[in-house]
Amino acid sequence: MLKQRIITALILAPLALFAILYLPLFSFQIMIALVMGLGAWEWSSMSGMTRSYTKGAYAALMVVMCLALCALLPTNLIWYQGHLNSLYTYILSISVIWWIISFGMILAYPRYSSIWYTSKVLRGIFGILTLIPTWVAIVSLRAHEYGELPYYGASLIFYVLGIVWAADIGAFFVGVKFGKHKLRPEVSPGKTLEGLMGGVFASSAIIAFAALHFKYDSSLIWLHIVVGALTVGVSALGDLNESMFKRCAGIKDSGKLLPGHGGIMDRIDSLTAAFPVFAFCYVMWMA
Amino acid sequence: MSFLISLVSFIVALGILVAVHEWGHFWVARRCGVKVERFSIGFGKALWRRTDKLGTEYVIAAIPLGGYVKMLDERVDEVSEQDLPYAFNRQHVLKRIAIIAAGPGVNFLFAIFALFVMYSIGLQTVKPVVGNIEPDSILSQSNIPKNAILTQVGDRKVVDWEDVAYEFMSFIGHDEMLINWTDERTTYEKSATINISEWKFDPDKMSVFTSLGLTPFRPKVLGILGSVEKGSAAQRIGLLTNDKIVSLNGTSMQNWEQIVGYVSTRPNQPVQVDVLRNGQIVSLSGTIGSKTDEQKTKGYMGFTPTLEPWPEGVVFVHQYGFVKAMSKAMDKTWRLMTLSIEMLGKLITGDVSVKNLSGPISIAQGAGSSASLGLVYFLGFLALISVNLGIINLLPLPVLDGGHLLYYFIELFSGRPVPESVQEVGFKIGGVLLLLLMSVAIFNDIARL
Repeated sequence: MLKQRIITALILAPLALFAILYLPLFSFQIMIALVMGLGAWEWSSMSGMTRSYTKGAYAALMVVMCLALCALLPTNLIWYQGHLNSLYTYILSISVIWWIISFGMILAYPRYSSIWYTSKVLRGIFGILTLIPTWVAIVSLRAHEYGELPYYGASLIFYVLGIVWAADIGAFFVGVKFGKHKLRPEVSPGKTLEGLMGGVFASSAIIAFAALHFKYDSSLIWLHIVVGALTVGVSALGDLNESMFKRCAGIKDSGKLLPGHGGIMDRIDSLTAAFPVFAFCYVMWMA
Repeated sequence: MSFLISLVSFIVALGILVAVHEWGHFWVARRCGVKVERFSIGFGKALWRRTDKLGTEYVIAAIPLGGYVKMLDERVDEVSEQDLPYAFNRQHVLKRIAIIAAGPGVNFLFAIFALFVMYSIGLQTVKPVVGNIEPDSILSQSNIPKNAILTQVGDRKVVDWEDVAYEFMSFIGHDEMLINWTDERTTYEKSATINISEWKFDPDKMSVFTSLGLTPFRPKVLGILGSVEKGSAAQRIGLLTNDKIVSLNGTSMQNWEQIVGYVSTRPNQPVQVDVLRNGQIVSLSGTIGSKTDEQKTKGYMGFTPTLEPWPEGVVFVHQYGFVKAMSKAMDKTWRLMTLSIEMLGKLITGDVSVKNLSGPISIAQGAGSSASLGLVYFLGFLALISVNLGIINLLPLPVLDGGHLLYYFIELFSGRPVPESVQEVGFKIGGVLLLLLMSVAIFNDIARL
């Protein structure tokens, strides 16, 4: 299982790396739109859609929405005179509100879940609220300073990926090596207190490294740390959000697209929260 | 040697404060009927241990950077059926709030106690008498004369320079500051509102007074040697206490500043010193010594001047009877608490830079220098750090007491515990934030060395 997982990662990671670094902005937009489409396919099962044409229609809707945004806004106008396009900014703001609501839903779960539990439409809308802003966030970050510094946006994307994945990787390896105190043996037997601390430590290391790399002014360090910590927390929220929907639909893995990893959504669940929230903070206070 | 004093005072200070904090949790936990399994000062390997008849193990451990109280808890380990009523997690949420809040609470009580002892013993301080105000500085807008005694900053009375420094700092980020003073002859107060929007203050570079253009009054320096350090260049040259320096290498010396300036720019150079000793000029010669700080080598002799005596009433002793000392201690603790919160607020709004965060090394230096001044100063320092420890622990960051309190308050309103998965999210945010802020603080400490 672990071997298969690593092989899949070794194939996908260079592909992602290439796309982020070298794909022209327009093709990059389309590629991310396709990934969101695959995510939507899986989300449709989590929303209780069963017939394949409904699922296909839902996935197609997601891709079309992304492409509509592409058509609406040429790549060179995503950032104009140092400001993100206001439509994109609205979408990011809506996403932040959605994640606050989602946090409330997780806190209250299973209370009040009957409101949305039975509604496929509502759960479908939640999927749109989760995936479209992720696309907007990734594209906005990638496009920042694209004209002058074509790799700057890529470094922002790597930063968010770094924070989120360092938490997972740190938690995994420290947990395996030093894990003793189980956090919640009945729910997730693999999680240990030591692993949790390992994840915290690894993410902190990435944030500290980024602070040195981006050469922040000392007045911005505080903001950088707070936004970094928030991103770590919110990525865990993305994870919980997906688990909640999976639990409602009674499934364990979101799909079987990635051998050893489960589905696409299982891989990008943390990112669907981390990217929009980070991008929002970045656009508001750091750009 | 000063390193050793710092280290020992730091460990003593931290040991006392950790013990006090954890004892707060411990005492209330016992009162609430929770079984306490271990009360440890320090982490890691146990150096000393004993167990009382209620089954609590008391431990002093090797790493003196903290401590903990381990209570019986189902979330941490298996609890047998008959022990369940004594488990922490089975207590009513109000009891859990009391147990957690007791730690920071006792830190505040301890600060009151330390200050009470300090005011009972008596503490020598200096009245805030103005020595000089730089022209074209922030304070030069006011017409505060030399020798004026500052009486009030903002709406708070000040009686010594420490008070003034605290109150000045509380105005960081404001636009205006009110100062009251009395001058030498009259006793009624005058006041001025000072525009401080242009005020820039970097505590690493200068004191809060210098940044405003204020020099506290100090008695005049006389050109007569007060002391000569053993083994110093001055002693090798043959200088004695009560010598008055007349000239260096033939250049006549009018005042002490001139002497210091002449010496510091000539490290390791030969010098001929003419002094007035018992009414006669004596010529001595030798070499100026040197001292290196901040990568700069400066000339150094190892003598200090005599000072004119302090004027009547400027140096005074804070000492009070039981009731007054108590009320003073409570006032001061309250002010330290509000100031700590104000400073944290300024850190968030950006009025105070993260560069000014201090970590363990600065605290150790503070502990060392206050301890070397004497017990009363050390008590004042303990009170300050105790209050800070209490406030920091109350921050609503998971990992800290304040984080637990946050969860319990949510539980109080929602009627059920915060899900552990959500607690984990909090733990991650709090953990990363704390780890990085600690790194910044330690980094600042090292940069300051």
